Amino acid sequence: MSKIITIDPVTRIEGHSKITIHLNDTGEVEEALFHVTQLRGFEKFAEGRPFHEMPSLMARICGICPVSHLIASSKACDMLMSVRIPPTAVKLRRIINLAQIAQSHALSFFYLSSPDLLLGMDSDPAKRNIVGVARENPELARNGIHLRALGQEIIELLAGKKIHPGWVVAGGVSHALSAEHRDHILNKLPEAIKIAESTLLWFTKQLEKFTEEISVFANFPSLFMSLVGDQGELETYDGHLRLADEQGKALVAKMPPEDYKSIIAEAISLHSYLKSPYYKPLGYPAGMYRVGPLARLHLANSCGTPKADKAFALFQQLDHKSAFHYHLARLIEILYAFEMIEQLLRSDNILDTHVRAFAAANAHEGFGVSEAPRGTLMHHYKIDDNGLITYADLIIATGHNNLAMNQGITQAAKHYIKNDKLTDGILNRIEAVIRTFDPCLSCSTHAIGQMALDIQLLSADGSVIDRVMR
Amino acid sequence: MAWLVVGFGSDLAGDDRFGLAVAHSVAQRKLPVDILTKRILGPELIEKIRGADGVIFVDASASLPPGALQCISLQDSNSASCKESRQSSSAIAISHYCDPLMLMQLTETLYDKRPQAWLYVVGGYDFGFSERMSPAVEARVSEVAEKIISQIGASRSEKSETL
Repeated sequence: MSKIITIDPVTRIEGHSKITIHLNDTGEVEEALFHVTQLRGFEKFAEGRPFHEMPSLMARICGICPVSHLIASSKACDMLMSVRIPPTAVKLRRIINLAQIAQSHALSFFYLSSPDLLLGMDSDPAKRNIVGVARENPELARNGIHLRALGQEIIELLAGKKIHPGWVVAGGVSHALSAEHRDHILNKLPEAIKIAESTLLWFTKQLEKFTEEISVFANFPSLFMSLVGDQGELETYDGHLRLADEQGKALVAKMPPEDYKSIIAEAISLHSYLKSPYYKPLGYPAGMYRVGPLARLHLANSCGTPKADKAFALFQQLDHKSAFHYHLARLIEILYAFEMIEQLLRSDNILDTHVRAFAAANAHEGFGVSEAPRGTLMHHYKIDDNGLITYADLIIATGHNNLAMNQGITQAAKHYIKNDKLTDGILNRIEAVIRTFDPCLSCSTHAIGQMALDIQLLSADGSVIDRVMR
Repeated sequence: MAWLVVGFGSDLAGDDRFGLAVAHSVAQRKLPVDILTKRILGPELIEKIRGADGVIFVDASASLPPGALQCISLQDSNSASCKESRQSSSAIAISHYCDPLMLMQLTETLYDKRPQAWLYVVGGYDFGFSERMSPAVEARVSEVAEKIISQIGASRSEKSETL
């Protein structure tokens, strides 16, 4: 008699989703599925809108990573206008993207995942949240809050507001950076860098407590994809598309990102609104690949900043197949982001007032890419002679990771679920696999702790065999 | 006494914009007060709260009778009124945003400081997609703004007398 276990909703992620775990007649896990239960439709309702509206419209996809969409969309519009944007505008876009990465990673690590890491996967669900972390380790909570607040403050100082800023525009940015704001940010960076370093030290000491999780949290061979710089270094704004296997063997060494369709195709599944991109030559679903901080650091040959490179050396010793190491990669990228912001703020011409190129549409097709906190983000538009959008294709980081997330929860479910009995700790670990990827299913509301989580083990005829509620 | 006024809610959800409207109304008086408008209350707000001596939150609620107004002291977490604030406020405690009481508790836990705090909350009629408030809720905006200004003014007068 086949059975289905449902985890609905998945907690401490961005957006609404559920997990179903399918058991066979002998009670063994056959597969687990990650269902994204919301439809957004941005690709469709963008059609008919003037292209220059796209950055502001697309930023509304998400309240956590609007800056990433703003940048990818603006870059696609730069291509539609066929302009080369001023160098200072590139630097400023880089800074705001790094601030976005830092604040989003801080949210993921400190707010969403640290309760598991600090209090334990089996701890009381009512305490497994940021309040519980604050009580158990106030310094960790203070540090997380501080890093996220600083990332948001940098975004606000550059762009006028923390969420859905309109500062990044087609052709560059809307206004220059003031000396006052530059100095204000520079004054705050040393403390942030120190905090990032101390958190890295703390977390590396925790790793030995999670050897079992490391071994079964989406720990399998797969491909990885990200942008890399000209010299193969970590890159978050521009560069080349690189795709390699878990050993680092490149299938695509360096490729212009706008040629993505030659290597990536998109599949759809009946159980989720999230699309499943895959590496074309290997087909679906064998062409599964991963993106995000783990992929970026797996594929890069260095970070390019001194302190992050020191931590990168430690990362290189780990087994990159395990999704658990997304956490460490995230912390290294926070450190990298603040170091790189400092470098950029101290660079020549950062206060230059020429920060925008102006033009009408000069091409019918545009593509923009950036590394969002969760991975490679692609915006692809086509327009008609009047500059109106006729086609929009968005491949968002969480989509790239979809196949790997499904295989990851299947692996964890097969490892932990041995009979019909469920425990909260087991279910939390399966959710925690998803959390390592930090999926962003749009910034919708979802609760932890106090929100009901009802997991039922159902027989094929629908009768409840076991049930866990919290 | 350093004051922080936080109006929160969505400006696209009808009466949910009440807190924002009150904050804007208080801001027009140009008082030496830190005024913030927020869609949601994130833990990052603690960095502002810990620098204040008094904090006033303003919100609209779907669980209060439409048009009803409450001012809840958030001083004692175990008080009935504080517990009631959890029911009245539209904010809920979740992963990356908090309700006002949770923010005050977190501030105390992390920084050993608990400024005086109040939550003004009005019952809303309509939280559907709209950039306008219901007339009865809109009428409460100036009333609550005046209460807040008086509260801040009274504390400033007390301080002057003390000096």
